[in-house]
Amino acid sequence: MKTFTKRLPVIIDLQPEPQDVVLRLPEWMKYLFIMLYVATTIGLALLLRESIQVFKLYQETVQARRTTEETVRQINLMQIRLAENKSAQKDYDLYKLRQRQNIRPGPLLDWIPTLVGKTQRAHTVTIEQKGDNLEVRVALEKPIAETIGRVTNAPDGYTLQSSVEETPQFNELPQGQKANLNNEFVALVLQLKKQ
Amino acid sequence: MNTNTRAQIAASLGIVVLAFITVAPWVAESHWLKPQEARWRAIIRHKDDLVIQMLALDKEVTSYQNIPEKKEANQSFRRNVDSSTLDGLQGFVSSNPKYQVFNFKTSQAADSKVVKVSLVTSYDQLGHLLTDMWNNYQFLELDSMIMKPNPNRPDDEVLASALVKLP
Repeated sequence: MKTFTKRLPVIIDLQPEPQDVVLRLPEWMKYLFIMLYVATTIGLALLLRESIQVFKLYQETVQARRTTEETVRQINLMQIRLAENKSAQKDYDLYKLRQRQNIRPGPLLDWIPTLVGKTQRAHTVTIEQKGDNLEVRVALEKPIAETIGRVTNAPDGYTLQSSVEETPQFNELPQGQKANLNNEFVALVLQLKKQ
Repeated sequence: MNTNTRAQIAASLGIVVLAFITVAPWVAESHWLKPQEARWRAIIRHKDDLVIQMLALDKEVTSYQNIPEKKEANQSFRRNVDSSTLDGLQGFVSSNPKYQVFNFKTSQAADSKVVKVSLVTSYDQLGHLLTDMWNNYQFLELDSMIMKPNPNRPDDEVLASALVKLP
């Protein structure tokens, strides 16, 4: 059997080495390369620093976006709660104001009997509200010789503005009944103001 | 042009190209990243403003005290207002076994909230009746009230008539 052996081609046409140096750069260009190297290194360092700052800023932005979404949701909820609170507070204040403005007869009913002396008799008691003021008229039958003392006290929650005696009106007098000969009818008119 | 000159030109061009490559990130930073940064900073500022607004709102919300209790009180007031009707008043006075009331009358003009109420009762009971009535119907407004002895039994009974305004 015949063995096959591959023969490598023999290169005989070798390129000759150049006699002169191919790249001959001037001396000053060496410094240019050094400057370029230094500038590039410094630039890379600065760029790295800047990149870290930008990345941090980006992270902050992503966090801020999430926080903004959550905050907006919270603000909406709070605004609803605030509106509810305002409404509840306003209603409560209005109710309390109405309660305060309303005349409650309890204190007046406790106070009116103190106006009538033991020798006197009350015939007609009229209470009339005029805004914040309250007029109380008490038609009394009293002995002629007796004078009505000055009223100084006022019921709870009121201040006494004035107290005068007047001639009673016809409808305040008892029907078909005349006063005793020693008695007379007097109307005590008191002006009160709600505190 | 000899070989050296060509080599110098090539090296210079190489330097210029390298310089451009070095400068490119800075150009990108100034032309692309800077506007982005401005936008991001605006987002962060907006977030800060929102947080400040939220804190102010929270302060305002918490400045209202006892709101659940006030809401309950409002409901109770509302119920009281709703129950303050002419029928309610009539039911309260005439079907209450606590009071002996005679000749109880009410009248209300059409389209008016003013009701005239008149009744006869004993002196002692009048005070209790009126006090209980105003405790039950807290928003009744008293326009005027006249109390005079009952002509039939002047020593025992009182004739009271009142003008009240329903809420």
